[in-house]
Amino acid sequence: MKTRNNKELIQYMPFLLPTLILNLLIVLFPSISTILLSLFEWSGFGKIKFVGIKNFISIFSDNLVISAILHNIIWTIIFLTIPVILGLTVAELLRRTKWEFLQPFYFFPVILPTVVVCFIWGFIYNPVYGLAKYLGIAILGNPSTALYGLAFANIWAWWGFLGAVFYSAVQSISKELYESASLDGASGWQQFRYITLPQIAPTLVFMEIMTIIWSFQVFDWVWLTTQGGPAGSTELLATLLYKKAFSLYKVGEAAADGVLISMFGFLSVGLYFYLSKRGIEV
Amino acid sequence: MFQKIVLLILLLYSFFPLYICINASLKTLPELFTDPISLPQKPVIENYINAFTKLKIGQAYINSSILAIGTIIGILLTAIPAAYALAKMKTSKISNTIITYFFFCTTIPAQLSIIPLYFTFAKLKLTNSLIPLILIHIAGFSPFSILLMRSYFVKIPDELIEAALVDGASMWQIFWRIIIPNTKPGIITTSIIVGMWSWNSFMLPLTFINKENLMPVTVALAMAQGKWSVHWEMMMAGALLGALPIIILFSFLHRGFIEGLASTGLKG
Repeated sequence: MKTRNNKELIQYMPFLLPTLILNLLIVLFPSISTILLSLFEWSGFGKIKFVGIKNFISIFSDNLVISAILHNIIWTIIFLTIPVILGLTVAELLRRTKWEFLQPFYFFPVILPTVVVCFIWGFIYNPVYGLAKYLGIAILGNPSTALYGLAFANIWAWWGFLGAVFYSAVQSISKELYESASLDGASGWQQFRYITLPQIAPTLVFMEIMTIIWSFQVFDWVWLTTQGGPAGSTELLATLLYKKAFSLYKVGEAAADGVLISMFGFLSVGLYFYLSKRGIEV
Repeated sequence: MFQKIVLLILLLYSFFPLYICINASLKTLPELFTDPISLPQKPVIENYINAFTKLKIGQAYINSSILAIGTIIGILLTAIPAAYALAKMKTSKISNTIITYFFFCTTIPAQLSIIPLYFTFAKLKLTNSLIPLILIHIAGFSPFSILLMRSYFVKIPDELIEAALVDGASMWQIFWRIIIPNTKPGIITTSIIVGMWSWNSFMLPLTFINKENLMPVTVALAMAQGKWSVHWEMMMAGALLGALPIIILFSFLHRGFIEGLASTGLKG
């Protein structure tokens, strides 16, 4: 048995090795290096100095990092709710109306490059030329609205993806469930609550978990528009990391920020495995 | 009835920003300034010509194409054979470990690897070159490609492979002559999604490319933003040009895009 396994492994090795080697060199090794780098002080060139957990102490006593974590949490909460509700709505309504032909239109904004979406919304929000002049406020220029303005633009280019994922899950639900429910006189809402929602719960939970992971990695949306401003109101962990690593010569601290971003991701993965072990129920 | 109205409102929500953008790209700046909403009195195409020349979109198109095509070829050569192996290996312990590892990879943020990667590449003089950037994209998108393609390979009956083995075909012959032709839809889906992600990619080229003549469309547009930010009519035309290849691809192959992305629920 053992030898047969080995023979098979040798047979398939040429298929697996190229991608594994590339992955080790470009994903795994650098990721581990970052974790190690977070224990050192380095400007990007010259001497590198071991400092233990000093970088973590300094990032956790840095108000910029604390407010970035807060902004990431706000971002996460927004994305755990609004686009998910929009996606569920469209999935359920497409099922009921059978207007499937609309799906590519909802999905369309998802495929656009982020830079293009940022241009479009940057124009809409522009207080001189754009639509915001009718509102009389500079949405991205005001610290109390900038983060929400960016999130709103991102939601536009994102919810269609969730709509497609949920709709694909809805389609695999047996039609008979709905038929017998409507014979029993179940209302549309009851069908959604007692059939759709429990049936797609695993997909829903998976997407919510991925949402948490992705929300802590957001970079493009801020970098292309406000670059963290005004007054640090849109600073996120990923933009802070980028500034520290590539223009402030604080590579060690940037690595510590990277570890922090990953911690939120790994905790979410842990949560996912915990939930799927317990069995997901709504 | 009410349900259809909700769907139409959501349709309007998806379309309105695009309307604003297309509309703005067809107006002169003075006209745009007085009225950003209603249709242009007389549509102008100068903005597109200006965007193409002043924002240097021509060269950026070439760079983005090299990046996207290079990444697709790399994925076809590395990730797809791996997906096949992971679908057909009977030693499930090893293949399960590798599959779990690749799933885990999709959750590793690019921010975790980008710092050492950049400093190593800079030291080896590999920045400002498209091929190293292509390699990074291949490595970044292969976990998704492997998970997606595996779902297609699993559906191929083992008997087909065994029969070919009995006939004396080698593993590679089977892969190229039997497996690949039978999974064309999956390969096309994987290619267009990976191609789209490479075309749209921003943070990686921003970090690894800073020579203007090597910048892909996304970075070139971002760089033009500071210089031309008042010329919204031209920026809107530039934005549409930047997305145009993806828009064309999507209008023909939207099924593949939607199914491929919706079935994994991953975004690269």
